[in-house]
Amino acid sequence: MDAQNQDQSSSLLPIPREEWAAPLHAARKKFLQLALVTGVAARSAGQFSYVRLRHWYYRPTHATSSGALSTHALETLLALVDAFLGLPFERARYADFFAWRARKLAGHRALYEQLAGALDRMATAAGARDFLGADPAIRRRIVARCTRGTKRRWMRWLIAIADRDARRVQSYVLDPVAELYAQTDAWIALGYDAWPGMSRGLEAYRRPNRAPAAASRSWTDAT
Amino acid sequence: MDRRDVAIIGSGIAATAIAWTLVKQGHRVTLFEKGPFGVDPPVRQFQELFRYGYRDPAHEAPRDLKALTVSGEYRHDLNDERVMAVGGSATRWAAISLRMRPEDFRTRTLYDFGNDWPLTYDEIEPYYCRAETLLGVSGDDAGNPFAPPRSRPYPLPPFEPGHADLALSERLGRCGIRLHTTPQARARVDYDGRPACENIGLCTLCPTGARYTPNHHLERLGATGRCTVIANAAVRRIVTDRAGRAEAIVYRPNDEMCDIEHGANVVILAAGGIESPRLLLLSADDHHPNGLGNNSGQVGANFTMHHSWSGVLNYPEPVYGGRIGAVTTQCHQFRDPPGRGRHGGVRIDLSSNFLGDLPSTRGSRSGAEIVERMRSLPFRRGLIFEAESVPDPGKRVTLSNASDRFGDRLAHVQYAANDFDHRTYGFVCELFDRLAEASGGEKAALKRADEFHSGWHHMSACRMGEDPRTSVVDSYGRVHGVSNLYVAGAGTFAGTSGAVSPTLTIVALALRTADVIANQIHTTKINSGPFAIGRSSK
Repeated sequence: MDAQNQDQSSSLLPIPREEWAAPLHAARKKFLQLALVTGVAARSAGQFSYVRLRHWYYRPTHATSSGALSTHALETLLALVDAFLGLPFERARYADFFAWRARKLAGHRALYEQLAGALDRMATAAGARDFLGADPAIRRRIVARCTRGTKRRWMRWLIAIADRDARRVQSYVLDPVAELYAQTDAWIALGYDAWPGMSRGLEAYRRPNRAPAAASRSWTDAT
Repeated sequence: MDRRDVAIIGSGIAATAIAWTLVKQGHRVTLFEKGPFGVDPPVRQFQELFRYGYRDPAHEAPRDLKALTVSGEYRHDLNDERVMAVGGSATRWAAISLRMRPEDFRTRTLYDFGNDWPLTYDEIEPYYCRAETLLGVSGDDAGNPFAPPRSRPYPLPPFEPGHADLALSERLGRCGIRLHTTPQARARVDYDGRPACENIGLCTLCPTGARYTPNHHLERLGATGRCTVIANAAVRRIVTDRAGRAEAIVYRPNDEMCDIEHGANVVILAAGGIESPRLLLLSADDHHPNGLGNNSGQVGANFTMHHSWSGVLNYPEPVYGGRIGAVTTQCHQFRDPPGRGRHGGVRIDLSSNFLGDLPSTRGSRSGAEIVERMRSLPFRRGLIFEAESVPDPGKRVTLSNASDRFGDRLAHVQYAANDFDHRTYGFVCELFDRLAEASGGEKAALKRADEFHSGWHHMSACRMGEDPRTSVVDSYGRVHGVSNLYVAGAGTFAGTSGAVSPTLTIVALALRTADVIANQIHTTKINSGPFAIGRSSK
């Protein structure tokens, strides 16, 4: 028996170290990587609540673009507000609202532009040049498709799952518009002489409520 | 190690009142705030929220640093009730600035509930006057027979009752219920660089600065060169020396990896009713194994909150509530009622600025539907019943098992109403019935007993008292056993502040604490005693 064979036979392992150590090292590395990924995934899953999941699923768009809105898109959105509300509203306030959100909030410009394009396509399909050129009745019909509310919970779920775009339009366009309207113009529609957010002074509230004061200054608009 | 005179943890209304007093007397002060700087007045935030419907999270500390865990039966988001930004929660407050009544300081003696305070109304009264001057409180006690005595008039005239308030006041008056104006830190006329209120009405973020926020004074303090605010930095613990005195605080900028030790001759903990006890507990060391001031296990043990229930009365004719943002009328008649002790006292907020929970407009399909959902608005009047409560073993602040980004355990709040609270709710129901009957209103809604709201008032977790076995600090806020560590804020209250908002009492106590600290620093400077300034750094 030569020295080499003697060495090999005295070894605890039948194969040289360099032959078994490398794959074992790789396996351990792979195991550690897997454990790390599993750990991180488990930790994330624990923190990934239903609310976050819903927010992710219905977020405005997967793109994160923000920036100036095209004039056509802005005009189309204002026509959408008109068709949605069906009541008088202060146009400049809503134009400012859309322009600011498009500029500042992630994904909103893309969402607004896509929505304007979709409205145009639906209007074209209905025989109009685009949404802006469509008859008010057609506009209302198109908007109604985005607001098909239902009192049945299972139906709401179905719509929410099956028609994510409609849900996005409701959540990120129509609901914020409704909230803005409720905070401002709706007060006038209810018979108030002003709405909170205007500089109303410290005299008027001590007198009986009067008809809407057209001359009242809007504090937010003034700044 | 940097060494300065006074380190204040927190930058809210208590911290600012102390800093203002000390800096005016020539001392150097550094404030540490976990959240970012804000601007006074918060025009940008106001516009983002009310004009564009967006709440920017960047105006507050990151969510993993501003967090806590809760158990028990409190149904609202307790974390949302704390503002972690320069200026603290008083950047969003309603500005109601009421004094406690003399009886509120002696409820154990007089009514056999709660705890007596280690100071009397007479002792704090001069500080109430100073607090009213500092905050610019508009008020008048002329029509309020239930107001506590005062040695000085309010610095500003009151906000008068509105048209709808007068009609309601007349109806209630016929049934023996008195309404009156409400003192508030909202400028009725120009005051101390703040403009008179314009009645914009969205007062949580007053865009003109008429309503007081601590930033009004913090910006001036910065200009003196003797006051520094270190924002976006989390204080992790207070360090004590071998003699058991606070000698430094350890903080870490929110986005950095290393701690910084900041030496101080006096440390003031003014981080709010929940964060202050948390930091005392996190600061455990060899000399204080259970946390600072916690030799008797009292830190966090006496935590309590106000219990507020809102209700709505509907009237057959429009009353047009909501035409004023300021708080006009309240009723203090039941703050100290005959049944007090069996149940708590109650303050009733009947101001026409409150309309109750507004209807949701989500999912609306048209403007007409939105208006229809809001149809009851002109006919309704919201009420808030704010009641005192008592500490209880079921109410406590401890350390959570969850941690923040630095590995420091968060605060955990356990809160459950007790029998006293339930009896108080019964009293509230009686009052609601009386008000409805007397005013001719239809009871539209009243929150259930378990739907109580704290009013953002987190109190008593570092309770004051003379006996270290049953309290954490003395009447000046000085932590038992750590002579140069103070706690300021509602956390030091001996219980709730009666049935009134705690803020004016917080500021009055803070001014009292500041006087003591200034006096001690001054004395020891001369005598080279333990408060000597300019000790060599480590």
